[in-house]
Amino acid sequence: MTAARVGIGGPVGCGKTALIEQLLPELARLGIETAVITNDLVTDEDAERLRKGGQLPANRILAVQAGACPHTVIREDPTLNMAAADRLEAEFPELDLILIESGGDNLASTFSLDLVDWWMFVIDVAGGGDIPRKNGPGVLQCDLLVINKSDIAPHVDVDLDQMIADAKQVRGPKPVLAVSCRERSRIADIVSQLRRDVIFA
Amino acid sequence: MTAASISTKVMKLTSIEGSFNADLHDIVHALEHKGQVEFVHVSQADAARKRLRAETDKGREVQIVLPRSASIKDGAVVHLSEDLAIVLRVDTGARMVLVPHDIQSAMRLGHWCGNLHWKVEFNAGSMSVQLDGPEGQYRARLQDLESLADFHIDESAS
Ligand SMILES: Nc1nc2c(ncn2[C@@H]2O[C@H](COP(=O)(O)OP(=O)(O)OP(=O)(O)O)[C@@H](O)[C@H]2O)c(=O)[nH]1
Ligand SMILES: [Mg+2]
Repeated sequence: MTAARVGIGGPVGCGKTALIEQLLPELARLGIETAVITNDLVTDEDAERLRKGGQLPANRILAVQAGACPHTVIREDPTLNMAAADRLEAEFPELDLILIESGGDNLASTFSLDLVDWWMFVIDVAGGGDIPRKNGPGVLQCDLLVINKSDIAPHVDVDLDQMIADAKQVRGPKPVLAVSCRERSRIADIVSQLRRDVIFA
Repeated sequence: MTAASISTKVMKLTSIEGSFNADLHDIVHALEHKGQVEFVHVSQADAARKRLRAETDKGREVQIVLPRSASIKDGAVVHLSEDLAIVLRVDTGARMVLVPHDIQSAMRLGHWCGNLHWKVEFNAGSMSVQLDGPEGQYRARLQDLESLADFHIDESAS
């Protein structure tokens, strides 16, 4: 069986890499064999950070440089990322899951289903409580909307409950989860959702 | 006959055996008479996926995990045994048909929809847009174009 391919998109600095850093130990605890592909503009910054973190063997972390707008390599022409995922799968046949972090983008960024089987979009409270109401395609179309940095909501004048309610309103039945990577809260809920919807292991 | 592993509740379906609309029609049809066919309804948007959790019309939970090279088409048979076939039904999905009135407008329209990353199909003299969200959102985007291009929405087609 192939490894599940899961996309993680969202605006610059919302906490995509931080989320991966929190997901990895939880996935490892459950015996889910994981690899990561990071996308950055013109560097390997996020991949280097994850390699230094040591939660995965360094060769299970690949970097793709988008060169231009990050959404071009996850939607318009995802060949670079598909090739990286194929490479990981060939090299590590035991993989259950490949996480693909998009470069920080805007609210319109979405993943092609040619590249991923399922994807989440991460926003954070510091971007403003009104973000869900702006109906960005990323917020609307993702399989799971993650609202990160719940720990700092009071410091940025955001009513978190209202923000969650607004997000649920625009997304209908599709799930929304508020988490804090800093406080490691609700990370296990994301993993449960992943296992149920796409990992199947 | 199929590479499916059956646990107590959830069935994992890992290959497409053929099509109810073509090669496997007679076999599946025979099973249908005995009430041994289950259908999974897949939306147009979900049909692009290779992995999918779904439920058959008889309430059986299935995990579909297809090879990267496979693609979900209407009628795909994802399980076939002596006493059970599972068939995917892809809903045609909502569409909106746009008709440009001249070449200049056609180019504008195509460029515009491309910039919006809409999924389209080209037909003779018209362009059919796949609606992945509420129709109102698509109409709102077209309003800005009205002063730049001559076109209309074929209301009879959607
Ligand atoms: N308070 C708080 N800070 C967080 C949380 N998650 C991430 N951060 C901080 O937010 C900043 C950005 O985090 P990253 O993980 O680099 O964000 P990213 O989305 O990967 O960024 P790009 O890849 O550059 O788009 C860092 O300074 C993190 O420490 C959180 O839950 N709470
Ligand atoms: Mg990052």
